[in-house]
Amino acid sequence: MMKDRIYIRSCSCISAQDTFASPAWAESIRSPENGLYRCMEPDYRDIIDPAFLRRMNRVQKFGLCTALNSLRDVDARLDAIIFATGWGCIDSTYRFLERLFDQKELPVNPAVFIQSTHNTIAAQTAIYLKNKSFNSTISDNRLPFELAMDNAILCLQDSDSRNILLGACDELTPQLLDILNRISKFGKPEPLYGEGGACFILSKEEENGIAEIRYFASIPGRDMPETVNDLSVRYSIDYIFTLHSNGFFPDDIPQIQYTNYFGDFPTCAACGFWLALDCLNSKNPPIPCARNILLVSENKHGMAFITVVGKIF
Amino acid sequence: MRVFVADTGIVSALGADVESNLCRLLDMQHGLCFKSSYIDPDTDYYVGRVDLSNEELCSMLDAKTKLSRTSLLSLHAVNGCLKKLYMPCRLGFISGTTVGGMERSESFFGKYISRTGTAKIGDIIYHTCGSATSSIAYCLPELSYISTINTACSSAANAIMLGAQKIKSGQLDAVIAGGSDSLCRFTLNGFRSLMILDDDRCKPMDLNRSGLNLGEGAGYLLLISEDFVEKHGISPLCELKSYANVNDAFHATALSGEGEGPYLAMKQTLDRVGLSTGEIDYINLHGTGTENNDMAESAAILRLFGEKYPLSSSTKPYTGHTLGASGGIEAVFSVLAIREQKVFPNLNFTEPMNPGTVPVLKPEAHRIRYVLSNSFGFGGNCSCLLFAKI
Repeated sequence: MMKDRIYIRSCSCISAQDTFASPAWAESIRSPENGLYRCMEPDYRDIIDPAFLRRMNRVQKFGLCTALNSLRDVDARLDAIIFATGWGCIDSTYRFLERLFDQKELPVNPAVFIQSTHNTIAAQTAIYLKNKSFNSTISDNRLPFELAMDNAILCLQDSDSRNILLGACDELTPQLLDILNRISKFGKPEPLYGEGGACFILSKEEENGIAEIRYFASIPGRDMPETVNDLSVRYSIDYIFTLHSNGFFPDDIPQIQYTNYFGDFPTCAACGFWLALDCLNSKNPPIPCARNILLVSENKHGMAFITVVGKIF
Repeated sequence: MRVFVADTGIVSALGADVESNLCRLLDMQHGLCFKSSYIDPDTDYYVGRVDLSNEELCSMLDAKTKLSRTSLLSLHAVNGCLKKLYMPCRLGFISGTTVGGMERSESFFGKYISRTGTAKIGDIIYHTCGSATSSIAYCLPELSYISTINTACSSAANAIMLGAQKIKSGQLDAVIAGGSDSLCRFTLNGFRSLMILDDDRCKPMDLNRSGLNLGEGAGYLLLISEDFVEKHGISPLCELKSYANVNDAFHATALSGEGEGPYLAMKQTLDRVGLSTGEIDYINLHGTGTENNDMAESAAILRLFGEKYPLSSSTKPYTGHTLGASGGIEAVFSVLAIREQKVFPNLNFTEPMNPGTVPVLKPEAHRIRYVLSNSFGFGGNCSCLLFAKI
């Protein structure tokens, strides 16, 4: 499915672990508190212009902060900015609704309304970077990050784009958590929810790359077990990263459930992808000796994504 | 791989199918009503409302009663564009929306926030933008790909662009692409608090314009590959020839005065296929009727095309601004302009801006070969699509 070779030049992640600040985060893994994986957030004033920061909501900060951090050591003109989010700017949305339904008068201040749409994360990043290139926002309940990566790879192949900022983020709020828990009472056991954000610079250029995307495709879910088997042999896969453990995969390859580090949320696969890159590159990896990692995810409509990411030799 | 438009589907304030929309465009009959109070009892503005209740839509579509209005409008319009779809094929469904299931979740949040009555879980389960698309997948032929885009008012245009990219890359044979949004208190009050709702019917491109009218609806194209055209002997309506997506990178809710984003979107669309400005016959404007949009769009057109700019008009005075659906609804109108070899007149225009472009005011026959469709959104998201006669 991939015409050109695609590399990752850098990445950054805000999550429930100390992934943003500490290369040795894996030495002290944090457990969920009160059944939740809440983000360890940096002091954003160190990273984002305070005048800009004042007008931002929390999920936008996840996005812009990881974007700026992933661009810190990369000298590249960005040809596209693509973000993924499942829940979007849920806090700003809720705050506008609160004004609508709680106060007995019509809201007069448009500030939270302006901040409430999903595309503000990618748009704020474009305004901050003064970047006029392709700019899009993908939303989905289960596969927003994978769909955004698909869009990014299409853009790299459909044009002379060379470097793309791919980001993903979701935030948890008390109201969202309450509503999610009410909904899941009707379904399966409650997952441990989480939140976070991650950004990656995808590039056609190998130079200074930290990893290569060796394979990326969306396939019918029914073909997934067989495809995973084939790819595991073809790429000498060391680990399979999944959202939930799955009995269909080869017994001899360890499965890693990245939700055990970050919790479950629509874009948690972005943190999973960051974890894979960390395992390939870090001096203190949480999971040792990885050269090729396969990531797989699926939605309930029978659509699956498979990514193979590996070390550059 | 070339990308063709096989069919179109639409529901808007003008009507629930393509032909009724076309009739009213040619008769210069708008679809707005002065009745936003049915959405919010404390307001009264002109809105472009689809004249079908959720119950009526549900029974027409034989759909789940829990679906959001955005999904019901979407499904209705999608059903209208599947006549030339031959299964099995690798089919995608890519939809733009900004409010998702908000109209329905407002009944949940109203009770949840004010702690009066029982907030029903059934009213919130399809709240997200992704749900607006995925919740109707079960009503459609087997899908290989489902995605949702929210780039504010350019959402549907970007969904169509992504659909074209998926076909061009050879990954899909056909894509249902467009967008859907329903009217709701959230957007009505949001735009009201921004003070960009016109108290009267909107006057795009007019010197004395004073804001937009909100609308609702859905518009979709069935995009198919060149191979699919040949394999099934389909006569497509037109070709989706080019597209571009850029960011104005200026302000969260305003375009730059010189219309840098709109200019780049149109220019890159032409440059991509090496078309000269003189070859464009008609531009379906974003033309919301706000001070800022029309100034920026007009400036961008004058900068790119000069004084001999193409015929242009905004169809938003007919439908209202349907936000995430507008790029889909206006893509359908652009395809109709090619099919009918006609340009749809801009309503409510009396006095031009200075400098400014003057829109088409009468329904006239023209030779229409190339049509640009503009869609610009908050956050500087500017996109442009180019349709070509075959």
